[in-house]
Amino acid sequence: MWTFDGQYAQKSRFKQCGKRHGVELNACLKNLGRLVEALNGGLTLQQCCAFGFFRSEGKDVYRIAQTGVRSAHETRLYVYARITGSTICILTVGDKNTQQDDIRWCHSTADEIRRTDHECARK
Amino acid sequence: MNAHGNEIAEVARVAADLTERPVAELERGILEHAEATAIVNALEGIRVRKGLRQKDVAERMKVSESTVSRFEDSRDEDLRVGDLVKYAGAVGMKLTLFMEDPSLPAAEQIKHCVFIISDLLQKLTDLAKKHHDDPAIVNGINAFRSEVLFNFFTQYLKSEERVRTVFTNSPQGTEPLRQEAATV
Repeated sequence: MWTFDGQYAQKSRFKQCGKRHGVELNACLKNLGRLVEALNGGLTLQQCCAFGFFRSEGKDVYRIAQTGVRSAHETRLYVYARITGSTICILTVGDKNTQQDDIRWCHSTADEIRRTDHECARK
Repeated sequence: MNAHGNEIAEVARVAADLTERPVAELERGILEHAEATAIVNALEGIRVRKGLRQKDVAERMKVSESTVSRFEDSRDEDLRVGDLVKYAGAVGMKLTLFMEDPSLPAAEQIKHCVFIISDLLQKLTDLAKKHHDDPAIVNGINAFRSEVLFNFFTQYLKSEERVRTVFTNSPQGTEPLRQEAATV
């Protein structure tokens, strides 16, 4: 069963987004729930990429957009799919302006998580 | 709580820690949004499970891909019935209007569902009669009916286990359950 993990997340970003764009954040979180429901229902991550709100950003980092919000401030929730352990690691949340930096940070964090997992597996 | 509710509860729990907002408030916000987009999300879910891209649905609906994208980004209250019918058809589904009276007690809703299932099973029987000389179809229908019966009993027994706990803990003990069993 796929589960969530928030330990690697940029808390400050979530706190800020929750205050300024709470509706959009709720929509992203709802879609995150839909994603995990689909994974637990037997779909693969690749199959889930057919959802309009879900897109790969490379290195097992994915972007989840909000849907169903009128005049939305485009909000992007970034997650890392930790295949070993079937965990969706919530990383950060941003918008169009922070997109490039967010993806770079997420890739770097995903590399770090993978390094840690690899070291644990070797022990 | 259904599977969808479990995922939302879990997302709300993790997000509450990240946003430093109360879990209940987040869960309520996420659920409200889920309810406002339930139909659209269900249709998109069917499309994805059937392995169809937005492009495939657009071709079948004879509209642009961005039209399909906008449809899937809508709220239920913004949908037009005509678009719903076309989208459902494009993903191989037939749109049937089923209205639920939330004020009805669960028992009445269950009875209503039983009648619907009975009608649908009758349709299967009619199909089997129509194709009585095709063993593949008849055997397929038989196998499906067995599967339905198995799934129904599995879910019913799980439900009975949960109810048994309530009866065991109630002042009347298991007497209501024994009386119920005697009538079956």
